[in-house]
Amino acid sequence: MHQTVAPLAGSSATTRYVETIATRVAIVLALALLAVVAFVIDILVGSGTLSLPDVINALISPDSAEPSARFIVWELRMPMTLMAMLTGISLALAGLLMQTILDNPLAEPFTLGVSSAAGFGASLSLGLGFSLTGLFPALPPELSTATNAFAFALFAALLVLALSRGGASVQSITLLGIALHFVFSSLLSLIQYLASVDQLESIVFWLMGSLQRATWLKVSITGAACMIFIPLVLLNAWSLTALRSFGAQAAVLGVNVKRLRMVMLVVSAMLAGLVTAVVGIIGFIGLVAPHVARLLVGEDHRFSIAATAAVGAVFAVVASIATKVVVPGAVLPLGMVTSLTGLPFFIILVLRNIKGEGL
Amino acid sequence: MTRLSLSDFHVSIGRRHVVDTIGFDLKGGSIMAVLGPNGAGKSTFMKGLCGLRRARGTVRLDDVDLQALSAAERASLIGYVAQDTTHLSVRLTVFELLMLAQNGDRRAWKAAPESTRRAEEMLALLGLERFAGTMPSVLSGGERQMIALALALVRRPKLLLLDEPTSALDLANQLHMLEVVQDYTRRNAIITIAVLHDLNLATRYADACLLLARGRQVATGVTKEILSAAQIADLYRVECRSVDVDQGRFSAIYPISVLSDGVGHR
Ligand SMILES: Nc1ncnc2c1ncn2[C@@H]1O[C@H](COP(=O)(O)OP(=O)(O)OP(=O)(O)O)[C@@H](O)[C@H]1O
Ligand SMILES: [Mg+2]
Repeated sequence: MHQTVAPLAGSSATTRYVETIATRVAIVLALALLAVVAFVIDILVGSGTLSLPDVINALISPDSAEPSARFIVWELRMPMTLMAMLTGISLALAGLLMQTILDNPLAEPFTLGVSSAAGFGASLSLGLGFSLTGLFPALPPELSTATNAFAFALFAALLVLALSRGGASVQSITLLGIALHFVFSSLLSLIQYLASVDQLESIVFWLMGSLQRATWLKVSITGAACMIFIPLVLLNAWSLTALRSFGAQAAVLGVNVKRLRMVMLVVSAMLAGLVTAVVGIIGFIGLVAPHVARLLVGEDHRFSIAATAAVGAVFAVVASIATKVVVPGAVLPLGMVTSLTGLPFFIILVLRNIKGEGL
Repeated sequence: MTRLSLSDFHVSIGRRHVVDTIGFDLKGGSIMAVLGPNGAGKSTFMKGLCGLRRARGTVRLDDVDLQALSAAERASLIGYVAQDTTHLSVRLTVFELLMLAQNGDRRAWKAAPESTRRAEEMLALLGLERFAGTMPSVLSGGERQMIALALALVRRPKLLLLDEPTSALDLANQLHMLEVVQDYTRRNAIITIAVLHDLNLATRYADACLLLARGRQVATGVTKEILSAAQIADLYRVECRSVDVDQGRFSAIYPISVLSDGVGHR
């Protein structure tokens, strides 16, 4: 994939560098195109019985379409597909950022305890009927579970940050995150133990992760968060590459390592926390997408950020298509599908790593 | 003319003062060797200078006090090569690293203009053209050290800090690297500070020396006056003879034996 020996004597290093950049831009564009194609397919094969022409008609001219078709396409399918895309983008980026700032190829939203904290927050609302929205009556009730999940996800990340006080080594941050993960998992089990059968069912279903909870309101909130955070991440692309390449010594290049780590930790927790709050726990995207992206475009974050977002989007949307077509007539939970399809990738990754260590 | 002056310079790790009260003056175009036993605090001193460790005191480069600058402004004046280059293991090519070294804290997507030209110049200067498309992780330790120097120089520093830059180099490359450094230092009138363990490289290339033991400045001054056999014996607790080579063109220091209060008694 990468050239490890200098090819083609004669062409200057700059020419080759410029060519590499052009190739990478092309790969990122191709990935984005793939995401768009997956997006369209996902809407076409959505749940409910609609013929293809009906869907296309409802998409192109909503006003002339039948109200039922319009409703299915615009109120059911569109938010779900958009949410799938946002989920993929956010989790993948959160994974990339965590892998970079924690210098750990296996870091992902789970690593900081973000996902299990979100699960605990959701179960508080689903199992015990306690929600933070009670404190903020202005929030609509459809957000009560999501608000809880998000608040606890953010709380977990801030706790890690506070405990490490910005000065801790990346190893101790990782360990703190794993410790939090176990704490919240145990608390979650406790609530499941206390819950009634009905409540238990809704908690378990929540934990599996599903796009059916997507609404336009939730899509707008997560979409807005992406629009704020993605530019912020892109702005730090060079610095992130420096951090990944030189670790703490990136400071010698003028990078404020401590601040960069802190800001990106919060950004990744917000991204992962928001989508987890909406769709539940979705495994493997955050872990796998950054690795696939780096395989395709290399370590330069100017490309790997965009590529990771695109790979995450493709992964999540294709998984969303799979949830609808694998078992006819039923929609599987998204989290189940991503975990099942992500697993082979993960194993390949680990095997590659073992080979890479070069025995 | 560039001028560096340190006074009352301290570096601490956690609460511990590892390097204490260093002070000296250097003028542009000169190389200072930092010498001392293992654990004397040489690396810590260098890290204090480039901002990787907390430091107190004044460091004036021309008319600016480095300690008062923001981390980013200070970084723009300094090039640093660490003692350990194994961290150069990321999957970026040497050319990409040269670009990154010049743009590490950049906000814009595009690299600064001139970056590619300077990267090529640096490869040519150090004779590393053949490695442009190579990843440092597949290079030898010595080759990586040359790359690390390129990464520091491409930033056009006014103060160049080298921590044992020749430790992994073969005989020819030791001379090659220090010739390049000397030439670059003179031509651009910058200041270079290099931790060296090889006394003969120090006598040959360093204009001035700073001798450290247990974090303290034992002596500092012009190399010829400082690096006597007696001073070396005192610093390392090793008996030495000073030898003239090539009719006095070079002076070499030859170790005879460890003094009875040597290793373990520092
Ligand atoms: N990260 C650290 N934490 C605590 N103490 C440290 C750390 N790094 C170095 N020290 C201590 O600071 C002192 C000076 O270390 P330093 O690395 O500066 O020595 P040095 O002169 O460069 O030695 P060498 O010739 O072996 O490279 C030593 O006593 C060492 O134990
Ligand atoms: Mg050292």
